[in-house]
Amino acid sequence: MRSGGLNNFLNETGDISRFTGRFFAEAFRPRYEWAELLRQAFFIGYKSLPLVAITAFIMGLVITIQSRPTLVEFGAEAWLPKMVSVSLVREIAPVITALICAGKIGSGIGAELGSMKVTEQIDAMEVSGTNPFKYLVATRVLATTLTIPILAVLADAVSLYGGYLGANIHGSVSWELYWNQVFDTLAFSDVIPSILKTFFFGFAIGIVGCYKGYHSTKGTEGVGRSANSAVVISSLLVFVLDLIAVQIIDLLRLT
Amino acid sequence: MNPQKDNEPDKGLSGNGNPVVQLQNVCKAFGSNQVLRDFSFELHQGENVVVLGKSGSGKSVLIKCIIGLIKPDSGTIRVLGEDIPKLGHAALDRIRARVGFLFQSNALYDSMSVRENLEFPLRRHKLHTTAEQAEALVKEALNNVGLGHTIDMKPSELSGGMKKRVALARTLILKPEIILYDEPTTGLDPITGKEISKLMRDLAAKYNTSSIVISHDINCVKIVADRIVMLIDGKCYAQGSYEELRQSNDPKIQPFFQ
Repeated sequence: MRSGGLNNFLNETGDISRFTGRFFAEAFRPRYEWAELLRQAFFIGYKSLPLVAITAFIMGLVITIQSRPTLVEFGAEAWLPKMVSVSLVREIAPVITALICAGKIGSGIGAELGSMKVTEQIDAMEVSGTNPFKYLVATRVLATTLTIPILAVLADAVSLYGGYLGANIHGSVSWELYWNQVFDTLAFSDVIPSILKTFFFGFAIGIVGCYKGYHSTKGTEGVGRSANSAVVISSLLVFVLDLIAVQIIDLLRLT
Repeated sequence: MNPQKDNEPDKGLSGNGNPVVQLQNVCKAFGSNQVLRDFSFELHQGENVVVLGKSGSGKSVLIKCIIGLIKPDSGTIRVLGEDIPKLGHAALDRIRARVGFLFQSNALYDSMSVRENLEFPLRRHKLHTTAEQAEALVKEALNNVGLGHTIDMKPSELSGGMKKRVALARTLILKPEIILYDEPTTGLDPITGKEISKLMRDLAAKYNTSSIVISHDINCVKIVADRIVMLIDGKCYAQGSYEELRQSNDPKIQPFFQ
């Protein structure tokens, strides 16, 4: 990496850290923006539900269909619900949900705040007696942090249902047997860590989208760049956080 | 014409009231670019002052310093008796409720309707008690700019001139004592630009506001200005009425009036 690139990377990392510090300093002090938080939770959570559900359903179906031949080869077809449920709940549903949200929500936040910045709407908010950081940034980051775990739990359920349908395309597994096997297999040590890490995914998506939008420059070109880099950085962060989470879970012998 | 000496605050030529905005030796630089150099200026009660200068000369920076959006590097800025750079958030908000700001890009919130845009400063400054009062103020402000019928429209459905009028209505809804206009006619056709300038003049007379208008549109300057301040090289280079400055032989002033 050239020294200019390294400098930019370090500067950007420092700026995002300061931005995160400012979030913690401002978000939990009055005046609380409850109405805006609920509005953002509705847009970020509820409006993302169809996309997350469709993706999770397809992932569940596809993973089951593709895993089946290998298990059949070893005569272990009956293990299909067990294997699929562990991989979906531990890894695939949370990460896919986070990636979908990084694309949909991260880019949306980056573009919205970016265009507000370049059209002086953020300044207008400030002269209207509003702390724009609290109103725009704190509410969006809290909304992503709180709603993405809920979306991930729903994605778990929908993807497992997709797995049930996938298991019945070439085989025959009853509804009761499938869910019995799923719940016999899954332990709290599978579910809790996978939900906990989605809080961090949600926070990363929110803070990166807001940082990029809030610091957008250079007119409409800058808005596009903010939206793009919000998606790239938050998607990358999702994988990095996932890697760290898996290492911690492994160290704690929860696997 | 009243050529400005360095570090000497102007005394205002047409406004006879008390000074409502006072700037003393204000400096502001962005990196190596020194935008304001010991800029001194006074705005008096009931006066409309146009700050005239080239693009990039620091006019917008000047009014953003006055409203507290940008902190000056040095110097004093007093608005309605308060030292703006030294105010905390709460005190600054109280002053901002008394000072309107019309942004160059209108800065209407895209996600809100015209009604919500106008209600926003009312709600945030907590200046109304009931929804009925807020509704009445919104309607009054929109009727003042002749756009009562747009109340439920979104900013994206409005033309450039209508957006400017709605932005002006949002600025006026708090009945400010001072209004800061950042290039109010930029991007408008000459006819609409003239209409907006006349509207600014009429509303200033109706509500007895003082105003600072940042502009390089000479038609707007002619209609609005009681006094013109020339911002050249970061300083208050000269000031006077439109006719006084138009007759100036100064090579830095002349091109603005040709």
